[in-house]
Amino acid sequence: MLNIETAQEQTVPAKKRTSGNLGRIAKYTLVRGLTLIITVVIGVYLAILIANGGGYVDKMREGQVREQLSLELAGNEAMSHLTLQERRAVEEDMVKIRIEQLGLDRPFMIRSFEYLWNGLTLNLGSAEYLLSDSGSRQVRNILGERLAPTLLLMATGQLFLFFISVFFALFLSRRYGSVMDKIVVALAPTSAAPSWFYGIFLILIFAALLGWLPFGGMVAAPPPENAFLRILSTLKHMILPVGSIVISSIFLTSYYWRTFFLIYSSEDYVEMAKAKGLSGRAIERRYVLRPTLPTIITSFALTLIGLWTGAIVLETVFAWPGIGRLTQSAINMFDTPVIVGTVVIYAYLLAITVFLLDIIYALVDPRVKLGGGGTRS
Amino acid sequence: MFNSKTRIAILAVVLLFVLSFGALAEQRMGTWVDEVIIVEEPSVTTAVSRLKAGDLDIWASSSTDSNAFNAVREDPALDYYQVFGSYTELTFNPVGPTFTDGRLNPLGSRKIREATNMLLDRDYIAQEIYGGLAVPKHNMLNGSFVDYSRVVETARALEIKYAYDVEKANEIIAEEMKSLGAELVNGKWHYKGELIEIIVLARSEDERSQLGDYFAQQLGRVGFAVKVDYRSGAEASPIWMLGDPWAGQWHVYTGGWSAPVVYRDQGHIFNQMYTRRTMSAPLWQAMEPIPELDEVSDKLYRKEFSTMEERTALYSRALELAYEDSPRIFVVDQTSFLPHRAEISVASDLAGGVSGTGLWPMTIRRGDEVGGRITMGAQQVLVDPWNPVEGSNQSFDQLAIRATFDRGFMTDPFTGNYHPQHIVQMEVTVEEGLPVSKSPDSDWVTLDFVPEIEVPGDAWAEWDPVNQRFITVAEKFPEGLTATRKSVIHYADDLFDTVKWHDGSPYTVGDMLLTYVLDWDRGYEESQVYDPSAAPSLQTALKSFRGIKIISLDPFVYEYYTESWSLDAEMNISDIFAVYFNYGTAPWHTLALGMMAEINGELAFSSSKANSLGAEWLGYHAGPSLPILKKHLDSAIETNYLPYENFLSDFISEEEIATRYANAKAWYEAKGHFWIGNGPLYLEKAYPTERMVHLKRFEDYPFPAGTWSGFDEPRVAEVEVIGPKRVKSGEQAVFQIDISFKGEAYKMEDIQEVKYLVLDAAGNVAFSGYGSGIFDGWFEVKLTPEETAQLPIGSNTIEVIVLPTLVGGATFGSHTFVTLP
Repeated sequence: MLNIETAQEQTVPAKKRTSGNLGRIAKYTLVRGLTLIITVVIGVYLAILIANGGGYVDKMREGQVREQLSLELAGNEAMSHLTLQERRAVEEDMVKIRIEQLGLDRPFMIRSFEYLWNGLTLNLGSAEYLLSDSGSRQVRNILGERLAPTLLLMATGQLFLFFISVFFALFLSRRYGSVMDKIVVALAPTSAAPSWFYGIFLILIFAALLGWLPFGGMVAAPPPENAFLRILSTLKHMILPVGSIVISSIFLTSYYWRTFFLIYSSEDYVEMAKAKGLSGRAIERRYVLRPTLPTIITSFALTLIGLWTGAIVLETVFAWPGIGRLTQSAINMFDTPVIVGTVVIYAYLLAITVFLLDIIYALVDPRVKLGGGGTRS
Repeated sequence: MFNSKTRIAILAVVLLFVLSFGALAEQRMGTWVDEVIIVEEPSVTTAVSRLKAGDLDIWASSSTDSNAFNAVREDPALDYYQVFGSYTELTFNPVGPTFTDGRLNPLGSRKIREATNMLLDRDYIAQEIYGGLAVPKHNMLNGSFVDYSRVVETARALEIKYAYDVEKANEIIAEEMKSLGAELVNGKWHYKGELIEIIVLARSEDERSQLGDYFAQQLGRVGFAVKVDYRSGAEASPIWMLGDPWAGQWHVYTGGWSAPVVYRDQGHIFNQMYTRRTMSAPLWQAMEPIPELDEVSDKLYRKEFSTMEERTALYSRALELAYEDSPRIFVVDQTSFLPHRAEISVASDLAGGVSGTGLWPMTIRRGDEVGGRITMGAQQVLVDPWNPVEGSNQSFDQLAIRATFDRGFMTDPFTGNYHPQHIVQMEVTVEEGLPVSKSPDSDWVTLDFVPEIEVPGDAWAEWDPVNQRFITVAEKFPEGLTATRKSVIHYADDLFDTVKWHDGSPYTVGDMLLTYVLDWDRGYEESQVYDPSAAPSLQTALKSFRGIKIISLDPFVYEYYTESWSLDAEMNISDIFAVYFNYGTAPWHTLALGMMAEINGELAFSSSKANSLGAEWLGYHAGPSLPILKKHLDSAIETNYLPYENFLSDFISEEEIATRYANAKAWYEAKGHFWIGNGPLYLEKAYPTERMVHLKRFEDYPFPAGTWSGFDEPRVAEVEVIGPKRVKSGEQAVFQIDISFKGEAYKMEDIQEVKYLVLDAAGNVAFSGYGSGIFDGWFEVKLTPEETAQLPIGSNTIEVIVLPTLVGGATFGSHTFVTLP
C-alpha cells in the first residue's frame, strides 16, 4: 500500500489530480481499515483461545473450585451431622453455584464469542476473579486504576530514554570515532540485561546501602496529606525505576540511532549538500533528520503504545502498582475478561497507530504517497 | 499541728495517692503503638533488605526462601518467628491392579504403597530440598498440634518402623511386583512385555518439583522407569483430581496442604485423607480403604467415642492402618519464617503467622517503647473488598481486618484454645459420656455432665423470614427437643458501657441481634437479602442447631443449644459478639446501609451474588461501594431506617437509630470510608492504588495495653536429657530432664506431662511411661531394676516427650546409653 515515489515533476492537471487523490485516499482508508479490523478480530480471538487453552482452562477452574470447596467442607464440623448423601448434596449445590458464577456451565465456544464481541465493542464487563485495587469487579476500573501509575512510570522512563538517546545519538554521530562514541559502542551490550536487573542493583546501592532513595512503592508511607509534598514523594519514588529503564537501554538505543544517523549522513545527497557548502546544522536538519523522521516517529509511536503493557518484572521489583503486574495476575488466574480487555485495548491502540502512521508518513515524507498505483516515471 | 513523723506519713500517703492516680490516669488503652502502616512488599528478599535498612519493622507474610532465612539469621539486628502450618505429601493413584488400558499400576497395590514410606529419606529432603526450613513428617499429624502429642508413642513407633530403608522397600516391592505378574528385565520392571513407566506429576511452583525428581530417582532405584511431568497447581488439578484415575494419566502427585490455625481436634483428618466420604472428586471416589480404617475414620469424624482413652486408641489404630493403606505418604512439615527487626515483638500464630491471630495489634511493640509507628510489610495488600458478612477472607486482608474488630473470645496462637475477651463466664453442659474436658487454668468455664439436655420451649429455633421473627422451639417442635450440648454465655457486666464503635457509637444489643438475624435471613429464599450461596451453609447449620434463648439483655446472657461439641470445654463457645468473625464485624447501622444497597441490586455482600446481580462486591473500606453507601446513608437518615423493624424495634430505639446514622455521617466526612469497627486499631485510610493501609490506635478501646502480654513469643520448651552413659542390667537408672525456655526453668504448672519411650538398638519401643516433676524445669525418669533387666544388652535410647500447656506441640529430647550385663 505504501508507495515510495521519486520526487519528480508532476504533469497531471491539478483538479483531476485532487479528485483522483481523494478517491485513492478513501479507497486506501477503507481497505486499510478493514484489514486492520480483521487483524484485530483474529488477534483478539486467538488471545481468547490461548488464554483459555482452547477450553482446557474450564477443566482447571472446575478442579480448583472442587478442590477448594472440598477442603472447606472437610474441616467443617457442622458437616459431620449430615449423612453422606446430604453432604454430597451440599457439596454439589455449592459447586453448582460457583460453577455458574464463573459461567462454566455454558460451553466455552459460546463464551469465547461473547468474550470477543464484548471485547471488540469495549464492553469490558466484569472480571471473573480479579478486582481493582479499590475492590471493583469492572474490568474498566481494574485497568483504569492501574493505567495512571503505569503511564506515569513507563511514560517518564520511555520518553526520557527516547529523547535522551535520540539527541545523544545525534551528538555522537557528529563525533564519530571519538572517545565518547567508542565508550557507547563498548557499553551497548550492557543493554542485554533487562531493566529490572539494573533495578536490583540500584536498590541495593541507593536504598539498602546508602539509604538515599526508597526501595519501592509509589509514595511514602503514609502518603503526605499535602499535594505538593505528595508529588515530591512520588517523584522521589520514581527515580530508581525510571533510572533502571534509562540505564538498561540508553547505550544500545543511542548506538542504534547513532548508526542510523551515520548511514543517512553518508548518503550521496548529504555529500552533495556538504559540497555545496551548506552548514552542518542545515544538513542535519534537512538531509539527515527529515528522511529519518518516519522511522523516528514510528519508534516513538510504538514506544507510546508499548507503555500500555507496562513491565511485569520491573513493577514487581519496585512494588509499583502497574498494568504489567495486573496482566501477569490475570494470566496466572486465567481471568479471561481482564486478559481480553488488556489485549483488545492494545490491539486497538496498535491498529490505530499503524493507521495514523501511514498518514503521518505521507505528511512528513514527500516520497511517501497513500494508495496509488506504483512508481511514476 | 502534726509532728514530723505524722507529716511524713501524710506526705507519703498523698504522694502514693497522687502517683497511683497519675498512673491510672495515664493508663494506656489498646495498643502499645500509635500507628501501624501496612505496605505491600511482594519479595521476601527485598523485604529482608528493607528490614536491615530499617525501612520496614516486620514482614508479616511468611516465606520458605532458605537464602533469605540465612540472611535473617546472620544479622543480629533481625529476628524471625516460625510458622508450621504447611506440609507436603505424595498422593498415589490407588486404582488397579491395572488401568483401563491394561497397564499395570504398581501403586494400586497396598503393599507397594506401604513400602514407599521407606523410600523417602525425609531428613535429606528437609535439609537439601527445603534448605533446612522443614522437618521430616511421617504421618498427617502436625507435630506442633495437640493431637500428635496425644498419640506420640504410636506415632514414634511407626516412624521407626517405616524409617528410610531402600533395601527393605526393594524387597517388599520386588516380591509384590512378581506376585502381580511383573518381571524385572535389565533392571527395569516390565508387565506383559511392556516397560512399566511411573508418571510423577510434580508441582512446578515450588520445592515440590525437586521432590518429584527425588522420588523419581528413588523409584528408579527399585526398578521403575519414571517420567516426571511438571505442572502448576491449576494445570495439574484436572489430571489428578478431576481426571479418571482408571485412565492412568498419572501415578504420583506431589501434593501440599496447609492448616491456617492451630487445630486442637484433627478428628476429621483420616476421613479426609483416607476415605471416600469427605471429598467427591474422582480420585477420592476411587479409593478402596481398608474396611477397618474406613470404620475407625468415620468414628473419629463423628466423635463416636466416650472417653479420651477410647479416642486415643481409635486414633492410634487409624495411624497404623493409614501406613498400611498409604494412598498418600507424608514427607515434610514446612517451617516458614516471618522476619522482623529484633526490637519488634508481636504475637504470631504457630500455624497462621501474624495475620492468623487477632492478638497482633495488642502485642506489637518496639522494645519497651510506648507510642510510635510500626511499618509492616506484606506480600499483598488490599486484595478483596472488606465487608463483615462475606467480604475478604484473604490472609493478606485479614492482617488489617483482625486489628479493627473485637470478639467475645481470643484464640490462643500457640495452643489453639480459647481465652475470654468480652465473655467473662461460660457454663458448658454436655451429655454424659462425652469426653469433654477443660483446662485447669480456665476458671471462666464450668463443665457439667447430665443425662439429658432439654431445650426450653421459648428458645428460638429458627428465623421466619416472612414475618421477621424467631419461631420458638415449642412452635417448631411441639413434641419437645433435646440437645447434646448447652452453653450459657455471660458477657461482661459493663459491656454496653465500655465498648464503643470507632465512630463513637456505643455497642448495643442491636449490634449483636442484627448480625445474628442477617446470618439466618440470607439463607432463605423468601428474604430480601437472599443469597443462594448462603443457603447450603444454613441448611447444614440447621442440622446441628437446636435453639438459642436470651436470658438477660444487660448484662447480656444467653443459652445456646446444639448437637455440636468440642473436646475442649473452652471451645464450646457460640459467640454472637462477632458473628462474622471470619470476615470482621460491623455495627448494625453500617450493615443496614449494605443491606439497603443489596436490596436495591447495587451491591452485594458476597462475591457470588455480586456476580449474579452484575453489581459490585460490597467493600466498606474503599472503592466504588462508598458513594452508593453514602447515598443510602442519606436516605436512612431521612427515613430513620431500621432493618427487620418488626423484630429489632424492641431492642433499638428511635433515638439510637438517629444517633447511629449521624455518627456514621460524621465518620464518613472525616475518614472517607465506612469501615467502622471496634478493635484496638481503626482504619485511618486505605490507599488502594498505593497499596497501603494506615491504621491508628483507638483510644476508647476498653482493654489496657498489655492485656495480652506474654503472647509475643511461643514458649516452646527446650529439653535436655541427662543420665548415665552406662546402665547395668537389673539396676535402677535415673535420668534427669531439664526443661527450659531461653535458659529459664519451665514452670511445673506449665507442663502438662512428660512421657518417655525406651527404644532398643533396632528402634523398637521396649517400654514407656511418665516422668515425675521434681521442681520447676526439672523432671525425673526412673527405670526400675525390673525394667533395665528387660533391656537388651547394648545400645538403647530413652526418648522424652515434653508436653507444655503453653504451646500445642511437644518437644523431644533423647539420650543414648549402653546397657551392660
